[in-house]
Amino acid sequence: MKPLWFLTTRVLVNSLKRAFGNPLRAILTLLVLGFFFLTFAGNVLSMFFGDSKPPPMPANMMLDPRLIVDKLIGLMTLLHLALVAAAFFPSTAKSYAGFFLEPDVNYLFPTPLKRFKVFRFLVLARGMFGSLMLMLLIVFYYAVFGRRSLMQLSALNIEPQVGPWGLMTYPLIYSLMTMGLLFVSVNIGIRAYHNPALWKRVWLVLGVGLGGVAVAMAFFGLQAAQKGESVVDGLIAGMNHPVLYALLIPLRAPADAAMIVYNGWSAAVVLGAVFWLGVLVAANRALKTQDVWLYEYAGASAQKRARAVSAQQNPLQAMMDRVAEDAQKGKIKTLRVPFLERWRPTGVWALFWRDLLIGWRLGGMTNLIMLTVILLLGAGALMAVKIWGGQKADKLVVVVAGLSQYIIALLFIVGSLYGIMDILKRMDFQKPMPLPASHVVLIEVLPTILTLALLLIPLTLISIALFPQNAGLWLYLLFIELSFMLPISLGLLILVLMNPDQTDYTQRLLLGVLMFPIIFLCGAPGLILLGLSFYFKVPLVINAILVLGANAMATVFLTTVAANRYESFNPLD
Amino acid sequence: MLEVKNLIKSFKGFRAVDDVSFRVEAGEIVGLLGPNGAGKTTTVKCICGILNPDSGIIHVGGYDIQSQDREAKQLMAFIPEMPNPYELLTVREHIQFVAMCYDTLPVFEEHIETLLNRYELKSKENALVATLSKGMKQKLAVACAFVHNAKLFLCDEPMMGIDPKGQHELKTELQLMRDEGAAVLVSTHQLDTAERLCDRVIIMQSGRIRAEGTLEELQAQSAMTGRTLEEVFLRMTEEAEREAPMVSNDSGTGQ
Repeated sequence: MKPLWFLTTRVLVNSLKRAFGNPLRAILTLLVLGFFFLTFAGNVLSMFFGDSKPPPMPANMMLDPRLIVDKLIGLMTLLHLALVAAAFFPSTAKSYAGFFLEPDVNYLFPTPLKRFKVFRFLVLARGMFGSLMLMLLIVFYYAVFGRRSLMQLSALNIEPQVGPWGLMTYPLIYSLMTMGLLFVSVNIGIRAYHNPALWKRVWLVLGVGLGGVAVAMAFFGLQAAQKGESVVDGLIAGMNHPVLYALLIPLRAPADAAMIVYNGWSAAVVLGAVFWLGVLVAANRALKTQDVWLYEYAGASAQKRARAVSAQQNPLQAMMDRVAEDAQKGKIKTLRVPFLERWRPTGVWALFWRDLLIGWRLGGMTNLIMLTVILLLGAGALMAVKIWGGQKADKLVVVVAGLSQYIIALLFIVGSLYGIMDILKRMDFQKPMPLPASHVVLIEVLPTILTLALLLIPLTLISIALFPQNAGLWLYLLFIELSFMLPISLGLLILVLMNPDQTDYTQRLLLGVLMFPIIFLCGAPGLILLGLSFYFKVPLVINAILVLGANAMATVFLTTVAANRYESFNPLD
Repeated sequence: MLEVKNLIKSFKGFRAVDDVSFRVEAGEIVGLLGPNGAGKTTTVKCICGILNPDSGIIHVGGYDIQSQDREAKQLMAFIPEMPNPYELLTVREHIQFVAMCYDTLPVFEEHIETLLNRYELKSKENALVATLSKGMKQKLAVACAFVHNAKLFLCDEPMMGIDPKGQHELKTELQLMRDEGAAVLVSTHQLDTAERLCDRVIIMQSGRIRAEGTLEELQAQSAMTGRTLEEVFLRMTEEAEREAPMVSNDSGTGQ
């Protein structure tokens, strides 16, 4: 397996080297890696080398440590249940097939290395990367949802039930579990390669299993509620009921292992570890029986993955191909916008016209459907507030409108990333044109903002019609929201220009991790002024002027940065 | 060196290769020709052990590709249609990796400079593959086929995207291998290349072998003495289409 280790390590090292070859990307990589290291490794290391005494419990706090530990175990069981379910969900199960690459087919599969060993290595090595990402996600949700319980627990003076090495139990059981799931899923995938209906049967079994657990837990929760007890206590009692405990051992094992410091060794930890080890061994053996099909399945998966990556890298192109294909077959009609087609702009506006024309022809129908749905939902919510809101209607409507517009804008921003990424494929075509880079980058993000405006304006008009007394507020919300879109879209454009290669692990990680911080950072000047204006009760008009001004200044700054990146863009960097 | 007997391969009910049999002897270059969707790539991938045939026998140097795949593969080298190399390896690492797979690092050390120079990869040896042009990637794919002492070369459109000098180098190299006793199977659309390079051609259409032989034999079969391979090929495939219009698979299985 020496060549496979060589391949894996060199790819990782070269990916990092490439990241550090670009100073800006190097800083971002260091920040992201530093964040992960300090957050996760720091916590683990402190258990070994840090102060072993827990902080003292406040005198007025009367807490039952058992109940807190049980709550956290319940939360972890739920998170691992989601992980198991996700492993067999259509989208995740199909993404497991993405372990194989076209280069594997061309350069690895024709070589005399043992077929089964190559296949297993690729699944394990590439699966490990994905499972580590999932573990970070679980730890994140654990910290978010269990924050209160964890703080309470740290305030209690509980002696650790196991030594520092006990901390290794969770990663061990987690690895056994994810590898077991991976192998089971790949086994099913290979068998489903010949018999696609197999997945439906798997989902049926999974659905029945999950439904059964949900019904049983609901029963315990309701029973507790009827007795006037806490529903959470009822659910915990259900979780510890002998039958459910036995059934849920595979999920209790990682949950109990995560709490092993407070909970000590439990039967679930030992039995669960044995269970997942058994699954892994059995799935490994079952995979061996499919030996002759391994490369063919991997090859088909690699082809699918290549298509998916191409669509991911160039979603607009993929969508365009699909729409063109459907339109050719007469399945759909593309939306024609006559006034747009007659418009003959020049200079940089020609780019705007092209983007708008293509965007509306491709996504026009979707936009119209979205507009209808948003109008119906928005108008419905506003009507509901007006009818049933009573005396609080005026205040409630502001919350409902603000929240719905925020959700629409957020969805739009995240969705717009794909449109922004499309600029990469137009680079060769439009960079040689005699157009100022600052105008080009601004024009590239404008169609998205215009489409959002087209969705929000009718909603604003409905709001004004239903609540005319708040007309000023509705207009304020509309302009403020649109003004935030400019700096945020430009920020995302800069991020895309800095990380254009989505086949590179580091660049993909940077784009994913930094997307939300960038959104926040680019909107920060406006947000700060918005907060201050509300805090000091500044009149709405001045408030709007301040926020619009801040966003305009951020836009000017980010346009300069984006233009600079655009001019110096090198896809091979 | 290569024996394919009654090979059948289907995808979701579509028979991509239908009862194909042929041989490639040591010391000859055989061209595998055919229109899109003829089953050429599927046949080559079955021989490489990437696809599992429904039935039939494939022997490489006397080894069965199913039951003795490691021994058979040790004798083979494959040049893919689309190079698609590992983008995050350097050129040198890529060739080294393939050499490691064949357990021929000493051969690699001995020949690496020659290979890099022959395919004009020397100046790029430490560059990431991702930074290479399409033509250079194809040259890399070709270079990787020569890191071990293969006795059977399977080339799927090997000239695609390579500049004239690179094409010339490859043709010379394949002819040299043939002269040294290796067997070469070249799947291609470039009929002029096939005419000049191949000792014999096999014409496939709709998963079946339509004709097989030297250019002279094919000319005689189609009563087109003195005509080019292109003319003979077009006549034969058009005739076959007229005789038995079959369901075409323009996209090809690509498997």
